[in-house]
Amino acid sequence: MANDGPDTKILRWNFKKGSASIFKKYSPENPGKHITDTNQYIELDPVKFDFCTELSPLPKLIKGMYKQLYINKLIKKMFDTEYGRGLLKVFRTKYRPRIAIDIIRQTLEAKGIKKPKVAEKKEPDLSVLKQKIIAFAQDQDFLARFTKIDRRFIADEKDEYFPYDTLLLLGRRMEKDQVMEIPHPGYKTRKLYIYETYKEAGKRVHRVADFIRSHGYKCLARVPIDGMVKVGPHAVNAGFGQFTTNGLVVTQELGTSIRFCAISIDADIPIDHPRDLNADEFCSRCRLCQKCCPVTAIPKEAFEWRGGMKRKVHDKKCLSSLFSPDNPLCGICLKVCPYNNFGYDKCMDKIPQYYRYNTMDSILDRSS
Amino acid sequence: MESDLFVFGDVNQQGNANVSMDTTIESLLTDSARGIKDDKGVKLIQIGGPLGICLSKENLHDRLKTYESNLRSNTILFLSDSTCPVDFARFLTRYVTRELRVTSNRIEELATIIDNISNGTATEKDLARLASNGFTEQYPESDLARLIYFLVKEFRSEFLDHIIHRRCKPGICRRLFMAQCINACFAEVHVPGFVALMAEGKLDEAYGLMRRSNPFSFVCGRICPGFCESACRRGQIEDTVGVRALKAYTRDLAFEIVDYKEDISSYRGRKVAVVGAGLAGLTTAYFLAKTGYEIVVYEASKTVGGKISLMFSEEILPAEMINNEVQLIKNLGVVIKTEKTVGKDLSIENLKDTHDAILLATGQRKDISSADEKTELTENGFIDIDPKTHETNQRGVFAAGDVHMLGSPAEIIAEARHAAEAIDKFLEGKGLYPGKEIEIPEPQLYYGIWDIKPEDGLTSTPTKEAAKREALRCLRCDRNSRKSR
Repeated sequence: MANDGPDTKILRWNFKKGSASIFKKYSPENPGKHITDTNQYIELDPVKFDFCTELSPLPKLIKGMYKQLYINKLIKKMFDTEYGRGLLKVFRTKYRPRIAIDIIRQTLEAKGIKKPKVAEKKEPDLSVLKQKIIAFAQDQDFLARFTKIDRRFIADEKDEYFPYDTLLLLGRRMEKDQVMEIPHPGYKTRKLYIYETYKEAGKRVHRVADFIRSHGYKCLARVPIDGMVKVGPHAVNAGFGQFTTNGLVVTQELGTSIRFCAISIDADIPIDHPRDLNADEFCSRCRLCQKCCPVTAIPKEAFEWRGGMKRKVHDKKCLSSLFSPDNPLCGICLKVCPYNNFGYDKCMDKIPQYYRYNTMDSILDRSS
Repeated sequence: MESDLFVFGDVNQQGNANVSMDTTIESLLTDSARGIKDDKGVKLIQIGGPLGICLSKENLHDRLKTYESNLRSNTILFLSDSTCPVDFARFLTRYVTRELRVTSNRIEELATIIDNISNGTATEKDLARLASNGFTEQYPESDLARLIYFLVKEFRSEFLDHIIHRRCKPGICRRLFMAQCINACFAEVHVPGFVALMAEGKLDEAYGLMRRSNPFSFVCGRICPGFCESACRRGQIEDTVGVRALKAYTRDLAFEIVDYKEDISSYRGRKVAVVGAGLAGLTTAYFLAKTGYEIVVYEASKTVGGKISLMFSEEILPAEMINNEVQLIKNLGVVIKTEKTVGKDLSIENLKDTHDAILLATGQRKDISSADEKTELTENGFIDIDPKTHETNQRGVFAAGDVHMLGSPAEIIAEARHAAEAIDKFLEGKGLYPGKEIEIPEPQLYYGIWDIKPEDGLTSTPTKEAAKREALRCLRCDRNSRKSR
């Protein structure tokens, strides 16, 4: 795993001046590659995936710009309806100021303009530090797990935002009463389920980062609304859960109504390993998300996409429903999923009981 | 000596139990675990973790200390009658390869064969390779091989059912059937399609879809215990979809079924005689007549219907309901001659002169006078037939229904369809014609599907809005993919 040289580093797009090769240069070390490639619970062909990552035709920055233009066009249409105007007003007054403060803070920290204070004395025992961080995160209503970063899931040109190797993933739940209001979010509770989670998580992730700094280690926090890192694959590597039919991660404690944010830490904390929750046994007998999607963005069969066999959600269709005037902030796949309505434990009770052996780690003895 | 065991599985109470090693497994089941759920029977017991020893219900009276050496982990698992041993074997191989990350040539071979059995592409030779005795002594390969050997030996008939008939009775190997309800129905009626057509209000098409598998749909609706409802996926999670209530609604609205237009295939076949106008005889006559054969039914008594017209009271199953569906069979051109006893008024030899094949469906009778001396009987007095072709020892004479084996109405209808296929094959036909294809709608399901609660008293005839709401509750399991991912 600790292979220096081009085997673990990956080629990235790079528009900065003064680099040796035109447009592409090597990224820093990629320690998470080993975890993703040897993860038994996902279907990925590592050779093909590496090839596709290096050969990405357009840098993600330009693709992102096209996406933003499409979203702006959709938002303009939302202005035509009464309900759409109301939602946008709630977003602008209630959520945008607070989220903007967190985003500005993270950008200043990442670019080195504002250097937060790190304590002098380092905590010597890393396992003790890990327990302390998890306890503090639980106080802040987070679920916390550690993993190594896999740079194939980081956006181009943003490697400087994740300078360290260990990644701490924090998951916050989306409140059930807000999710059950879909497709009319905010009707009774006056809160939007997506942005409420983003606001609360963004506030608290900086507190966790300050807590880590107070124990003497450097770290950089990222708010959940930020799109520079794909949190799904990292969450699966960290052992939160597995992928479901519509591409969300299902966890034992919170089902699929969970949103993640990340902190990269400059310490070699012992990481958590991927777990098998047998989510596919239940998903394959349900598939309600695929049947209820209003724009049929979720395909019926799995196909190969950049080396992995998955049901890749059709981006443009899903976006068009997210900003549609009829059911804004869609989320219908979230609402019909039995993992959210009944919880993971009750759902797993309805398939044969021997599948529970996978989650009985504390009782089983795996050595000979 | 006391020790802690974690008891789980299909039991009423799961959890830790502190018991002495002298207790029997049965007393552990009844005292600590409060028995098996839903009063089912025990099928499998596993002690000591996923690679521990597996026992059948013959070992229920053993004491726990017999298996103390197998307690690598302190767990004991009880599995009930609704377990599929093929799926259990599949789980064990996946556990070894994915969780313990161990693989070898033998383990890969076992995994491939079991996966093939589970998706219907295996042969009987594969089963022999599975149970071969080449054990190594290496953990975990030895434990896995021993467990699979035990499962194949104990449940050989279920493995063969998966391989030869491509059928999973408990309804767990999902790649062998379209939906759990269709799998549970003896006649394999397309239940999700029926419910979907009801949600759109298309009563005629819903009835036509049911008649592709079962010509006595409304009659069965009154007397069937509803195996589809017991196997409903939604019923396992929450509350079942009220299929019987929807059928009652269809029937009460569609009582003008005498105007229902049946369609017949354009093939013109030969003549078949059916002896006995009970469920078995009339169902076979229906399937063969739709395929284009000329059928004549001989019935000894004055009324048609057989045992179902006698077994059930007038409130549960009115005679008019039976007669309505019999009339639809007559509309296909089937001639029913009542008060003609075969064996007295005419003999089988007479029938052989005028017809190309004969079906005996006279039901339970003390003397099988319709059969002549040449027909062979089993030792119980039933007519002996080849189980695959339904043919008696006389060439061209077949038997179906109670006359060869007692069965419930649902089983008899399913069997009659097989008999019709066999007769069609014997007469060199091209297969049965079940009716024209009916398109089943596939709309986007309603986003509030979990918010619709079943209404009280839905088993009686519902209103139109209640029927539509009930039909929207179906999860449409027939639309799921059947591939392995």
